[in-house]
Amino acid sequence: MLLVEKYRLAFEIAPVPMLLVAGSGEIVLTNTHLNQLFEYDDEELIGQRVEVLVPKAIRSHHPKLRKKYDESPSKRGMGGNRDLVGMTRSGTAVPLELGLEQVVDDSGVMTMVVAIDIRQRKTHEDLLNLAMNAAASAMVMFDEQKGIAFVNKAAEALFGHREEDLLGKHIETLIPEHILLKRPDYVKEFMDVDEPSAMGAGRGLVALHRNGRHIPVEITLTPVVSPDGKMILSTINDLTERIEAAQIVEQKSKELEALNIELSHFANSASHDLKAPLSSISGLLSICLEDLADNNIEDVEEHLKTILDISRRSAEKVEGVLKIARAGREPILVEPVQFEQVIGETWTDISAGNDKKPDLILDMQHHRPIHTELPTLKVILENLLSNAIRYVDAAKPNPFIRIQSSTINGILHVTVSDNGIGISKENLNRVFEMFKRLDTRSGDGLGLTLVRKQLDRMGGTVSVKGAEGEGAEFTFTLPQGKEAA
Amino acid sequence: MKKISVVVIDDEKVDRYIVKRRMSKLDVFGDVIEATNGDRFLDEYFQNENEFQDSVPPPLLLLMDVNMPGRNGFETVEEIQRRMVDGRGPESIVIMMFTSSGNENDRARAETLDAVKGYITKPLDEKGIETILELYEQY
Repeated sequence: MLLVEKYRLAFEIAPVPMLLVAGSGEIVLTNTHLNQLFEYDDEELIGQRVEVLVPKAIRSHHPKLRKKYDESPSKRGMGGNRDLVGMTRSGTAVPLELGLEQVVDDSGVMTMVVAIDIRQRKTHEDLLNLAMNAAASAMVMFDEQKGIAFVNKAAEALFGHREEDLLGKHIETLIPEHILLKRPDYVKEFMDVDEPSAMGAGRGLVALHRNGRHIPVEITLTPVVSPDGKMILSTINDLTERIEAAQIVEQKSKELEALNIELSHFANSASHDLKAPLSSISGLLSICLEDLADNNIEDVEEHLKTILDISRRSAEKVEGVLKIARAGREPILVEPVQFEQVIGETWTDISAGNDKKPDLILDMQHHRPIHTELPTLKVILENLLSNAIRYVDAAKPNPFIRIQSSTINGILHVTVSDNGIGISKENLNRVFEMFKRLDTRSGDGLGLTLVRKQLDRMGGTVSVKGAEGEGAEFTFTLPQGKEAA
Repeated sequence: MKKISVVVIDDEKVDRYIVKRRMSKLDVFGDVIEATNGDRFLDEYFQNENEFQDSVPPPLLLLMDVNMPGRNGFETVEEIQRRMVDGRGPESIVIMMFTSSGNENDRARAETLDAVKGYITKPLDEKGIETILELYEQY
């Protein structure tokens, strides 16, 4: 019995398309499934060369491939990861997976071919890839044997690698070295999961970007068991933004905490200092009532004058507190300002009528003009200069106030120093506290608080140096936004 | 009964005046001496090697303002206590904090100071005088 006849029955029973090819390349047997798949009539393929079923592009090359196979035949599956394609009579390309086996009989060597149409499987794969590529989360599929088997678009973006550069690579490619060194079993742990599990939440898990950057991530592992072996689908979420947001929230809450402290400090100070004059007034008024009952009009008049004076001063104080509270609420125009001119005007205003005013020495080295809020600059100068006049040291023969200015890296630096009575070391930190009066000569304890608040608001700073008996030195800085550094 | 000598330590002139006026009407109080802040009080009453002056006859009442330039009221009391421990202070002294503040923190801080026996809210009125007298009856 001829081999062909021996196989004919088996071919017809087989549920898959099959054909038998002679060593010459001639088709000797096909079954109905194969004829239908390739759109040929029964027996029509018999006697034709197998190359009619091969796409034209590789048709000329194909006999060589056949010859190579014949020289070292083995039972093997073809296709797998490679895209093998057959061509139907009408020219349609059909993705195939082929099984080859050499059979021998008296008439020579033949090859039995099983051709499985994988169009459906391909469609499923394509749909799956499409879905995974559409996902916002990065997804990487790892094959236990073959390494990285799939990388979606989001994962390409996350890791900075292209899919084709990652396929077949080890997982280690995507994990920073310091983690691998610390946890040698990391990859094993990774591949060993047998149920969906989350990694990394709150554990500082990091992935490795192509450029070396460490990306904080959270990973969900889903094992996929296929006939080809075990695969792990990992879904990777980039936590960078979440962590940044958390840091911003933390920063904001620290700022709020600081504001809260400032507010309670303010409330505390206000209860002391805004209430005190009201207590004085009510005390004096009750004495007035007694004096009126005694018909002591002179005392009543005197007390009322005092009350009037106290209430006027209180009103000014309230205004001062409001100024501080309002500082920064309303935008003020930033304009070019001639600094020397502003100093001159301010000095005239506050030193008018003062016979013993100190000498004003100017040492101006700043870039001109400066850019700032004119009214705010005046407030700052008024406070610093009036303090310097107030704490003049009467024991010194030549009292002076020196203003020095410079522009360094686009920042205006101004130092107002004097040879007045100075500030003791322990009080240096307290001069900016609200309502803090460190000396009987002090004003309402609001001036330097306002100066600091205004400078804070404009991105500047203020600091103080000095020692008791040796004068004081206040330095403030103001960024000059419009000027190149 | 000995008259109570009073020192009012307050930087606010009006408040010192109110105390003087209130107390001058009552026989139980002796002279009211004024100190314009805590530092001045310490300087003037602890002269001569910081020996407390005999110029003020006991029993002695200090009305101590809280918010003052220089040492505040609490810091002044702490310094007085230190000097008393060193044996430089008077044998008996009653200090009452004297302030317009109803602040809880201030009251709590007053509680922690041994020498502080009371807390009077400004302005000094009949109720405040009563508080002082009640305290003195205990001594």
